Amino acid sequence: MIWTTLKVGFHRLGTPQVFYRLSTVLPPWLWAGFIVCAAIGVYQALYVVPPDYQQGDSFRILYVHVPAAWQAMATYVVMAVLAVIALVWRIRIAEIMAMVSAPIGAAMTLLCLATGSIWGRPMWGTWWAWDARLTSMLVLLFIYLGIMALYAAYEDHRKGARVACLLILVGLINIPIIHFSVEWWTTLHQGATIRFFGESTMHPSMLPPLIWMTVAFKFLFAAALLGRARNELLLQDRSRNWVKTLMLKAT
Amino acid sequence: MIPDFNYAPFVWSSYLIAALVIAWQMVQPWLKHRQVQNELREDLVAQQLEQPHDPKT
Repeated sequence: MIWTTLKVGFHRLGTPQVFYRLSTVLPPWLWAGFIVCAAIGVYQALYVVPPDYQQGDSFRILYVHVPAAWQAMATYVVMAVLAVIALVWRIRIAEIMAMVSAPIGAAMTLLCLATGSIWGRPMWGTWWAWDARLTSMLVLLFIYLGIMALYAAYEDHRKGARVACLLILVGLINIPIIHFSVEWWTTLHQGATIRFFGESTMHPSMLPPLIWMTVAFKFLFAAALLGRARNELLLQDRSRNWVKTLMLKAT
Repeated sequence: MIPDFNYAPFVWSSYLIAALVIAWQMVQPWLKHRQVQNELREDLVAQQLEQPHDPKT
């Protein structure tokens, strides 16, 4: 019974009208969630947490750098799941969501690289090093840009999305490389300090703002994803009756 | 009120870049939605004008 309800709900979500309504209603709430979490996170990061005994105040950069890095990788994993759904079940909404995830992931990767570079200058004495973690993150940015370019290169959106979905699955190999790069190679980048299974080496007093900012970035991703997907859906369905009716109602 | 950190330029520039990237993620879908809506409305008006006029109505 529950399984059938879930299945029906999943398929209803795949209909353009239902998805459009959902992507109109949810984003303001998700942005509100983002603003609340980010406000608490930034306040704690800048005013509450004491300076690090070695890095001084420069460690405060990690409160935007780390959530951006995690979100860049999480976005890719979400995109890969959507790509599998799009390729196997041919669900158009999944295709659209996979495609609009790429620019958000690229923005998160760029933010991670920029803030990492700014942190690296005073701490490592250089803006950039061809270190395994940094390089694999740069490769992630290029993969995101490649997916966006490939999708845009096709006039037929569905064909472009299917080809881009294949590239997404090929590029998935880079995610474990990024994660384990600090263990597999000797890197300038520090090893993992936050462990979900095992003891974290980060002091507990420094953790709350990181958690708030991480949750804030999840809200940001969900809100931006739905907002972008709504626009893409409207553009793809511009000649369909439901969009025409919607536009007539709005005028 | 604004803390004078050591490494202040590095800290503040990082937060500024983050604010700009996040603001773009917030504003872009909204701007694009307005643009798409205007485009679609113009298309609709053009289609209605192209339709043959029925003198009885």
